[in-house]
Amino acid sequence: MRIQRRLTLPLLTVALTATAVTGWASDSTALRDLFDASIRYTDKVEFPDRIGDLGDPTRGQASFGIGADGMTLDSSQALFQGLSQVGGTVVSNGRTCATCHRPGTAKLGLPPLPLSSTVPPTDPLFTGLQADTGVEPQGLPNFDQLGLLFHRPTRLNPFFPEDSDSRQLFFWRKTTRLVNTVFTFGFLNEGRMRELVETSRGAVFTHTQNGDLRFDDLVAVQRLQDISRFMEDTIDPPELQALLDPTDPNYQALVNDPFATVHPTTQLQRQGENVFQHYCMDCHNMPNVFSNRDHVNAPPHAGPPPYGHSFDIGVAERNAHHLEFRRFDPATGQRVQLILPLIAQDGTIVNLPVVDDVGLAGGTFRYEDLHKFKVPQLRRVAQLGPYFHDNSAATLADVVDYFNGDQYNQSVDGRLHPIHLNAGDREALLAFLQIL
Amino acid sequence: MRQRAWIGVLGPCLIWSCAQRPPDEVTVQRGLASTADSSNQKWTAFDESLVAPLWLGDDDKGALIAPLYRGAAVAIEDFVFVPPDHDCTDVRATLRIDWDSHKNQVHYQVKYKKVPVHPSVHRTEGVDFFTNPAHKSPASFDDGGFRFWTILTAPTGLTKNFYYDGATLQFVGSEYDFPNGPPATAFPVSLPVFTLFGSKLYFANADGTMFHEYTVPYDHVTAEGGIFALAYTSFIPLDLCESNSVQPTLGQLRPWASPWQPPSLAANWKDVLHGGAAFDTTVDQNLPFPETFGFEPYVYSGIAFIGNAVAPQGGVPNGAVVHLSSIILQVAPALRPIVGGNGTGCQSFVAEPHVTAPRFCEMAQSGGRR
Repeated sequence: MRIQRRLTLPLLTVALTATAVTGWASDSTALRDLFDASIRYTDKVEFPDRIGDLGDPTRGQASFGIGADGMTLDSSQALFQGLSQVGGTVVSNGRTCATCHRPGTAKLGLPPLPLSSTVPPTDPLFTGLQADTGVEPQGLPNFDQLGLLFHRPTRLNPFFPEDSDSRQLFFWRKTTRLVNTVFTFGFLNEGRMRELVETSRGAVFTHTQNGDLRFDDLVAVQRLQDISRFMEDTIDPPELQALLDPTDPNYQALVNDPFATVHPTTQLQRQGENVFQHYCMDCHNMPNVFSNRDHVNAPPHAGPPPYGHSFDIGVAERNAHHLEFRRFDPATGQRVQLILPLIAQDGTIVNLPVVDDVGLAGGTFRYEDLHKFKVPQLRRVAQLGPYFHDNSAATLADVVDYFNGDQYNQSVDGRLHPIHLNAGDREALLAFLQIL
Repeated sequence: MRQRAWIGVLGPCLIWSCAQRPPDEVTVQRGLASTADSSNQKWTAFDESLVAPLWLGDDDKGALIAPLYRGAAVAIEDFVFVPPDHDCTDVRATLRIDWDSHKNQVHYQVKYKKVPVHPSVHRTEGVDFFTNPAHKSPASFDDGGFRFWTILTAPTGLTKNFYYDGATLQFVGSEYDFPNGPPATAFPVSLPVFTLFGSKLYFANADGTMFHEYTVPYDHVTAEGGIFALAYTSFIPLDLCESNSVQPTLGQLRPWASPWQPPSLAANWKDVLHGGAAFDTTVDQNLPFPETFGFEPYVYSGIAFIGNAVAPQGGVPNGAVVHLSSIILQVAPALRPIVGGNGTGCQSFVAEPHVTAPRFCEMAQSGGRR
């Protein structure tokens, strides 16, 4: 695999040498290199985290909140509420999965921004917003104008005191459009969820009611498996289905030729394919899907998250929208700095003032996971904007220009995978991305 | 695959010299070799610098080299051991496991520094020891030894039957206690179990260093000596009234272990590699049970000392622990700092005790929320 063959050994060598010879154990770069090399990944094109036949896609669509026509919103079979043994009386706020993951041109994502231009204020998208934002005053404007939802990744963790910084940690995240979900390892923007049942369960707990209580007994595993299967079936283009089954006659062809289902028709698009292959496939290396193919060489639940391979490309540190990451205290009306105790590879605790999106570290509390995010799939990418976890790139041109700029090339993983395009390369790459 | 690429480059250097390689790589190879070489049982600079697991090779032939720390991989209600001087700064170990399916070998080597020569444990009922009919380990002993464990933590769907009295809802035994069938008044509850297997007892040198190695078959990974394959373990309610099936961590969870199982049930090492392996060194009584190669009837002592969980990226750093209740509840993060840390003034403690819990069944009868 390109990235690992090219990088892993030199990185590890330098890091080990540094720690052994100079006592450089406290250097965060060396520790990050050791951390990155310490996992047992495989790049085999396999999807052991699939729900597959454990779920029913038709029932899943109904539980997702989409009617039988595949286009209309229908919450009649999609609410989670009632009397819970552990959560008490749970009253739904009317939201379903499809409230944010809308069918049709939205490709199971949010409608165009600002949301209020097409969604009435009486829609559960807005009326249920307090489930996510709580007392955060920026919750509504950031959601409406930027399409960013307020998330607290440790919200349901009862082992942290409720008012602790660790429990109150938050970030602002886009709603991912659910295209080719089955071909990615790890879920949500940073991949902190290992498989779709876990992901769906967390979404139900956090988006459909106010409060931090779980109500596991109202969220039957079978319904979650049905919802997961429905999401797994959102495969586009359909011929990618062959990648799910090694016995499929087309499986090997799609594995061997990463562009087998991509059909450039112009010289510029063909040139763009070469540019993509040269500069982008260190990370976007899943054949024909262009997500990342690394995953833990074991079942998803063999260890705590993450299951896939995430990267720090500098987008979080850029914080292009100048998003607020200090907690709002309603008692004083003031912002309060959150301090996150992250565990570094050498065992030291790094008390990190949260000034931007901490990325995967918000789920693992590992310092070396700071600012890491998942590699998204790229099929139909021209229809999937805005881009990055914080919707900070409006167009594909913005994306390409970001990767071609200093912010990316000076980021932790950008230094390892530099990208420098001339004007012709840039134009060609954009032409290629349009046909994915 | 990364592992295959690695063994191609690093593998030969683990055994032979690498004089032609660049200086920085040579340093690495020498370091790895110093850990690999069983004739060098002393703690080396490489052992000292190792802060994350290294995975070499693939499922068929490869190696794992990992740092082990006090309290890094402990289970619910484990008593975490502390050295007599309460200074855990240098309490460390490194693990090397080499496997080769063609040679049908899995070779364990564990190297320690600063472990007590005569480990003693003295616990107080109700404070740091809780009598458990499902796991009859001793409260106290002197002049013990150490034992190394491999624990497979990934859920496999494997369950065992646990029997409860129909009138009292008290645990009366597992399927292993009733070979002729359970009592007529008992009913079964099926609960998930995990597997673990261990080494023989071993002892520290006078200077506090320690080294232990053993080999088991690749296609038949038994406990050291081959008499037994494995044991099953779980965390169960002793009183079903204190159990919460919706959120188990709210309820009572007490350690349980099966009897040792015959060699025919031994796992293949490939399955171990995919099974979310964790490792721990326990402190055990020095009791002669020659017919069982020193394995006590309670299987594992529950006195955890030095280990790691190597499945998560980075393993577990020094001073942290995989928080099992968070794993069960599937809430982030899985890692937490251990109680009291691993520096000077470190303390013994009981990890995540769930000895008692609210009386959920009576609360339900009175209409209260569970």
